[in-house]
Amino acid sequence: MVSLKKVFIYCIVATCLVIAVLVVTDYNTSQPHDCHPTSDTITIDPDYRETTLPPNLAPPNFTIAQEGKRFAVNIRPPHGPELHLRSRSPDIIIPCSAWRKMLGMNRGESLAVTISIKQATGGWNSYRPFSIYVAAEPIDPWCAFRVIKPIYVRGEDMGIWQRDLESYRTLEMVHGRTFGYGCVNCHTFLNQNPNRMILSTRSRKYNNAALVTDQDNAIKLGVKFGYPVWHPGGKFITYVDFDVFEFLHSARNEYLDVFDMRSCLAHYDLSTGTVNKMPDLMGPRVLETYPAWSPDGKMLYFCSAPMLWDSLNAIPPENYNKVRYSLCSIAYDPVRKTWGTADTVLSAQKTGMSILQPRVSPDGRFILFCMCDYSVFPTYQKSSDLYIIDLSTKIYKSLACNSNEAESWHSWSSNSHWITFSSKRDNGEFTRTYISYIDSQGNARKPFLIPQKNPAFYTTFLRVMNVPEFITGPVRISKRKLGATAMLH
Amino acid sequence: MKNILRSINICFFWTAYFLYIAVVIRPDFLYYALITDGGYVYPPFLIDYDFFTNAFHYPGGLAWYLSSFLFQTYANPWQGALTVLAASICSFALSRAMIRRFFGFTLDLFAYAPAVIAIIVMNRYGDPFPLLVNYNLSLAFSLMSINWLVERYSRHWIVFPLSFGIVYFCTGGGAVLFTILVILFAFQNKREGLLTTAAAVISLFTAILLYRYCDLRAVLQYALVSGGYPERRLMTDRTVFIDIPVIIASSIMVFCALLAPYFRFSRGSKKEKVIFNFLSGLIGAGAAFFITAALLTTTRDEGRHIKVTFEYLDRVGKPGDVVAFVDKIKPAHFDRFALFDLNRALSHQGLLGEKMFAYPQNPEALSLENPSLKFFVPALMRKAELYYELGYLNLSKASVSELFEGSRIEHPAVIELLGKNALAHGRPAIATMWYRRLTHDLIYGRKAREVLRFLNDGKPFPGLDAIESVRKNAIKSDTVLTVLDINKFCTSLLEENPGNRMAFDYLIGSFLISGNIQEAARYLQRFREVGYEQLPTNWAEALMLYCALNSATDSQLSSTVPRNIQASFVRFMSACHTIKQRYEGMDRGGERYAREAPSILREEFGATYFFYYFFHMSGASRWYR
Repeated sequence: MVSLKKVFIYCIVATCLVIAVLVVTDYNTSQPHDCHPTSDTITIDPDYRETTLPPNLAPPNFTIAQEGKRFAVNIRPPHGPELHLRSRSPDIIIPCSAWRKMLGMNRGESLAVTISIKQATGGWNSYRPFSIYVAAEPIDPWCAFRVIKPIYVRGEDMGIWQRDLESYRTLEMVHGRTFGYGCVNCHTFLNQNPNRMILSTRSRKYNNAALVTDQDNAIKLGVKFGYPVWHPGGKFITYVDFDVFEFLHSARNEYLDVFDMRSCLAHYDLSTGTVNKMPDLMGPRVLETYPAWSPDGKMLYFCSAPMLWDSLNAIPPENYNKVRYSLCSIAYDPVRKTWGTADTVLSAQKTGMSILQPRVSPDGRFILFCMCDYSVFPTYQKSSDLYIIDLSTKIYKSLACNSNEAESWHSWSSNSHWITFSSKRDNGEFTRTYISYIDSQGNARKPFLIPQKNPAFYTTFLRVMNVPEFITGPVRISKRKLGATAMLH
Repeated sequence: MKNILRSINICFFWTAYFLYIAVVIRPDFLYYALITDGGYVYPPFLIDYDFFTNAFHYPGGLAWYLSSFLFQTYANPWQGALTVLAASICSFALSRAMIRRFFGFTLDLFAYAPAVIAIIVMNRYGDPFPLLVNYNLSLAFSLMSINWLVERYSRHWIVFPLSFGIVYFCTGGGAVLFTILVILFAFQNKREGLLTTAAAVISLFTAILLYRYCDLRAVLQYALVSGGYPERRLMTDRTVFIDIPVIIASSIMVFCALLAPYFRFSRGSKKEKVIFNFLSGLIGAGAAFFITAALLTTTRDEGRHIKVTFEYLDRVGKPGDVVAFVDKIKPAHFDRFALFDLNRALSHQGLLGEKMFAYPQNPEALSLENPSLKFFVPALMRKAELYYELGYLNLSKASVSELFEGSRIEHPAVIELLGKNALAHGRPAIATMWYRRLTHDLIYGRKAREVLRFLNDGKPFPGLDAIESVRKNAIKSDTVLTVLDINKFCTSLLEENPGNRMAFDYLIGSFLISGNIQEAARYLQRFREVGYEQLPTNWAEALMLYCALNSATDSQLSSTVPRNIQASFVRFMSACHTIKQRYEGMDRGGERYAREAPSILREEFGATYFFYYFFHMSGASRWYR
């Protein structure tokens, strides 16, 4: 006779099997039958439609904006098996391994994505397919960016994060709390190398300083670096010595504004530990900022504007809203350590706008910069857009990845085919990090947000992600060590 | 008989305890009054996966999670009182059991001690005491359950390290107590000595390892006794004399309760025990009641109570109750925050011009221009709300964002203001971000969902009118703001929109509070543009004064002053003249006049602007009617 206990166990096993079969049936990966094709376009968030993605990017999970009872996604590549996904929720999570395989087999090809939605009435509607292009060139696998709250006044909650773009792994590189809630900013890498980094810190308790890392070691330099950049040889750091001020606007949407009361370039020699002022680049009474080295280390690009005020005490100074910077350059001989004569590459007079944040592509062909109506700080200028100048022809053009909101803080990947930048396009306030493909002619493709495991991540993340910098690997030095170094007196 | 008597006593005590919290202390005041003193923000509770998992990122996170949840019940006075009552009864039972285990008889007077401390702490308002109590109770609950586990399953050695882990992550530093307990247990229990000692050693090593990867200083400093959030600063200089006894008392209770099962004392005969039980029941509950009443009376902080009440009423949108409350209690002290809230409430009611000088004003009471650092957070939030209501949206946003940035805890009231600001600014995408976050909040969630529905479907929600009014009055012309001067702000607002009554009232109030009647008189002529049919009393008094003090007065000005105000002014001046004559020719007559006149004139003229102008320019903070 079968015992009651055994009957009970059999019942549980049978129930589990039934549930498993139901689940498998429900989530079976085949296409929904009797789909009714419509000509309507589907809206997804983040918008990956018609974007160009790197072949080593994590799956771009997204949320379908249209309502429905069930959702089916079919990704059809030219090579290899199709990927069928079905979900009760509009959040579409793409399996990592299948996605990686698909991208690996389809470099330089395009994927056709079809989304079908089961309506409340029971029938399936299939929306107009869209494409995702897979670039042949990979992206640098990691990206470091700053995470702060939308308004940065006190600098009490500021961190630098690093993100593995091939997966969703995000690590906090350093946070102000590791050294008494100080401020961390201006993270800069030597040729995208995660082992050589400069990090500026500000702290009432531990003073303003710069941390320079080399592998697992960090040293604290008692110098305040503004917008520092490495000389490609790694021997010295060029930076801005400035007095920066911030003030409020009473009514405009971008209510903060920033200007440099005075600024000049300087460089710090790491071998001797000395600070050297640059030669008088553009003459007296000028503002110089945003240095950027050419990859060969023989040309320094920077932005320069005439100082339009006499008094250094009035805030804001007179004509602050007429300050427009030009893109300039000066030759440098790394062997003799001598400077040439400064020259204007692109003048503000010609563009009618302020040229800021030049970044030279690692292949030395292009300079990516932003332009806005006035000011030294494009993030707070709605008019700020990204532009590119071909150094061989000196022709500049606006990039197709611009929006109506501010674009700024851009950087290049080591193969010069990807740029990452900060944009406020989503809502005008919460800056997000976007990536765009740049072809050999310097044209940008439609940008996309860094994918997140949770597709709704950006809709509830009340932080700003800006100053993205590509790196070829993760920064290994621990945040405790960085914090401890920052706390040294 | 003894049981009945004791039960009646206990019921009476706890009923009085519950009612006092629900009716007098009002936990909802604590919940909605974002901050009244010391810059402390009470925790939100989000129904959110991230919020839940974050609780495990540091030792004691679960205790924090639990106390955050418990704190949400404070939003309703009865639910909040019930939470405190339940926690207090548990601590009472715990202490009572401990005493019985130790001494073999009950001693209710001492058993009530933690509950009495808890209510005293709540009675003082404004400090993180309610949280502290929650921390300790969370700790007590966790340790009690572990204690139970160990008592029943101590034969299985794996229970010890497992329990240690649970306690550590649940209550932070409670694990230290647990380790001590395990060691004591190992010494006591000879039969399982070897296994238990091994378990204790494993626990200790685990503790060392865990501490190594946590912020040791923070754990020791904060989590050891409270089991709380390591980043939270629980001690303030001002409260240290109350914090420390609370922490020590409740920790001792918990510690003793833990040890109690392992020590069994039995003293006295059965008869003596019965007498003890009876007497302790009778005396304990009665004495606890009277001691509690005495302590509550002596420790009640009326100033903070007023501040909390004003802030609560302002925040829940009951400005009328502020005025009714203050007129009812006539407080002996007003600080600048309470006055600021009162003035805002008067303005919301359209009574600023009518009654502003009926209360003892302070030059900072309208704008909180120079708050000391200690009051930084409360001043910032209040200013952000004022700027928002006036229509200086960017300034409000800057202030509240600073609060959002500076606070490690993102309080729903702060997020709500940011959302309202974006709505009033006509930026729905940003408002959606803020409100979407707010939907996860246990208390503010419903309201946030209504706003999101409005943003999606256009279905109106309660409070939309106020936002529309702010949007209408908001400053439109862009200028650079370098000096925070409320006079300038109000002037600009009036230039753009002459019908902005709040800006008008604040501008006049600001001029009058500093005695600048010339400037006030310039704007008072425009009172009809803001919708006044006739000048409100205090404004009319100021205009009357201006007319009287300036011989070249425009006759039109005096014609706008109602006759009763003119008559009142004449009576006031005549009374002043009479008193002055009394002291004329006397030694230090002027000084005596300045001292005596206010007390003589207060009864009749205390609520007038004349009186404030002549006798209270410095804003003496006392009730003078």
